Amino acid sequence: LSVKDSYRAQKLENRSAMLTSAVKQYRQAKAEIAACLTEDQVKLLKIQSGYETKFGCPVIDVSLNDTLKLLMRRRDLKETEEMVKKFKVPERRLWWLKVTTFAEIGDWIELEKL
Amino acid sequence: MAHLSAGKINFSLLRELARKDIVSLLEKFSGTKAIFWDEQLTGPIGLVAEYSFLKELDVVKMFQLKPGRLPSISVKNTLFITRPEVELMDCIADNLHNEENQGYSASKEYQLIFVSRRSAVCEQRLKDKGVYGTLTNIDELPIDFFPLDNDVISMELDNIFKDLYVDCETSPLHQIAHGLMSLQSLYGIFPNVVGKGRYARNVFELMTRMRRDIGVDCDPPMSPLFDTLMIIDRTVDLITPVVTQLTYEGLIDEFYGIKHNTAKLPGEKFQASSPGAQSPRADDSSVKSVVLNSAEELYADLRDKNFSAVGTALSRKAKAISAQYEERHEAKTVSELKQFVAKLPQMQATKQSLALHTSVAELIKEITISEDFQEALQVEQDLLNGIDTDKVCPYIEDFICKQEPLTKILRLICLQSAANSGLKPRVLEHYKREIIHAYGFQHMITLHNLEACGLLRLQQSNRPFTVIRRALNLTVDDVNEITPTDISYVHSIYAPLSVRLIQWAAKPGWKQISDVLNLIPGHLVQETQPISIDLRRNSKNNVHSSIEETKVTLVFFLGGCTYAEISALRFLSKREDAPTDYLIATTNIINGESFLTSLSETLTNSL
Repeated sequence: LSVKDSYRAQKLENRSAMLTSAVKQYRQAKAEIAACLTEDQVKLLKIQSGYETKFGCPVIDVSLNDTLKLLMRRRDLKETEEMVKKFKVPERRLWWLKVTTFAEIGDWIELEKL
Repeated sequence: MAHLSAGKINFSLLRELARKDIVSLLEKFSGTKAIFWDEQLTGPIGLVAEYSFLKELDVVKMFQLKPGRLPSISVKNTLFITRPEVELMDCIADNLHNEENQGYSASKEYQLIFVSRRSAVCEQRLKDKGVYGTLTNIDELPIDFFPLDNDVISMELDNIFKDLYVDCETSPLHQIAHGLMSLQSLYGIFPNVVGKGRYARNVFELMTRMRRDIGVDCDPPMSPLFDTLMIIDRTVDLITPVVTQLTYEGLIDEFYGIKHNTAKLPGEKFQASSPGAQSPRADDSSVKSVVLNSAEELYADLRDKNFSAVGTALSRKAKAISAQYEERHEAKTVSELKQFVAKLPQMQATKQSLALHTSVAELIKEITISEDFQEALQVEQDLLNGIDTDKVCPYIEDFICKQEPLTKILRLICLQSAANSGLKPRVLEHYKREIIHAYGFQHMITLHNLEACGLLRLQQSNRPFTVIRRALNLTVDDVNEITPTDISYVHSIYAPLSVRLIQWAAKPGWKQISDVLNLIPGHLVQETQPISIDLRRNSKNNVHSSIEETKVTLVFFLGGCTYAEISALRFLSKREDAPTDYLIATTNIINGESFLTSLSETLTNSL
């Protein structure tokens, strides 16, 4: 399976390419959910590598939720909104993420808004 | 080790046989020996042969097998004792290459020993690596079953479920059949073989073929000790392994893990309370190893109880002990005093194990009364009762958002999948997305594995589990946890499906529930093995000579069983109207945690 191979890949470009081919294989095997999730991952990796250069800290390969938390911790609420839209994060999860993150950084004003 | 022979069937024979095999194997190589162990084997082998025993056989040093240079030791024989796995061969090849580079002395001999059987694939691998010739000898140590207690034996194969059901690798079936054959050679042919599940029939067919190959004339010349062999394939019941066990032993296993009868508990609780018990070694004073088996009378009594009954049992025992101590005031004559003194060592031992188990029970109680544990248990019981199994469970969603341990989440989702006879596509998709987004994409393969073996699946048109649950009375409302009347006490409300089937097989028989059995996947096995008439007559005579003798069934769990299942079977054996006694053989002992971990594959990042 390409998914396993992709993790052995040393370079990000290689991994993305392999994951893209995994998406194709999943589609052929009619595994729609897996294909979608893999597609999301390719998208996420690309965005993460963008953040990595922008923020100068390692972001690649952390989960989507952790990425969102990172953005909130940086109080980058606009970017967070965009990500939420891109990955269709459900209300309930977003609420949880906001509560935990705002509590963590002690942003009581934002917390109250919820 | 006297406790091993206390059971209905003497399992210490297995231990003796294993020891004999080890002796005859080691005696083949004269002179001093150093053993390099496959790490996975040290635990199981330790159950039959301790280090002092090996020392008497000229074993000077023991090491763990790992790649790289071998430590320099001056022994005549270097023994590698391993399971037949290709990766381990690579490791040995690396060891041997290193030895060669150092110009090892010609007087040294290298032996390779497979447990339990040699494999052509592994030998080919050694040839490919060019070290096959370096080995003086290749041998096998045919130990399949390790006795855990007087009623439980295990093959201690931890990855078997994944091998069989995810990778569809069927070679372990041969080892299983071999193991069951060697049981037959010790305890006589099983006259009846019944079973259910995907590989149950394959195992029986392999056994039949092996018996034919050896020749029926070579059957062990004894009347059968077991009446029935019952093969229960784990896929018959995928619910029980993911449900929380609520027996004392089950909870120790859930929280701390019991491996080869030994549990490792946090040490700080014990220093004060039981100074006499084996003091923890200086290097790891934070961990206390406790050996748990029926040799300890108190533990034998507590292990199968629902945890809520353990407290009362402990305090009753404590009262009994202090009453015994009080007797000394009443002892008037010298002979009475003597009697009292004779009982002292045993009382001392009981007191010590009382202190030990009070501490263990305290540790467990701390966890079971926590809100987290209670909440998860509530969710579990709702799912078992079929409440809202159709929808995404909000509690599970919350657990994911709280980043609770992934195995906890997976257990609940697998339970929901089983209780609902498969999840709706939308629900499964939602869970998958939540998990990947919360825990990372590297868990993709784990999810795939769970689907491959049927723990996660999509809903079919009908919902057989609801029917099975009602027909077999799997969820019981008014369970008496203190003085149980039904096996459902092991999970407080849920009776393990596997054990329910075993119970029905004995009385009134599987014919009565053939509709239900048809709903459970996998073939049914109901066979008799022909035995020569003399032996059969003998066994009949035995029954007449001692009428009280009950039948004995050996239940073999293919793919692992839990401590709760063992407790439930013990409960059935102890019942007065029990139609048969049960002894348990299993490929390995599992709990939800270890079961799902064995199916997980986390990809590590090499970026």
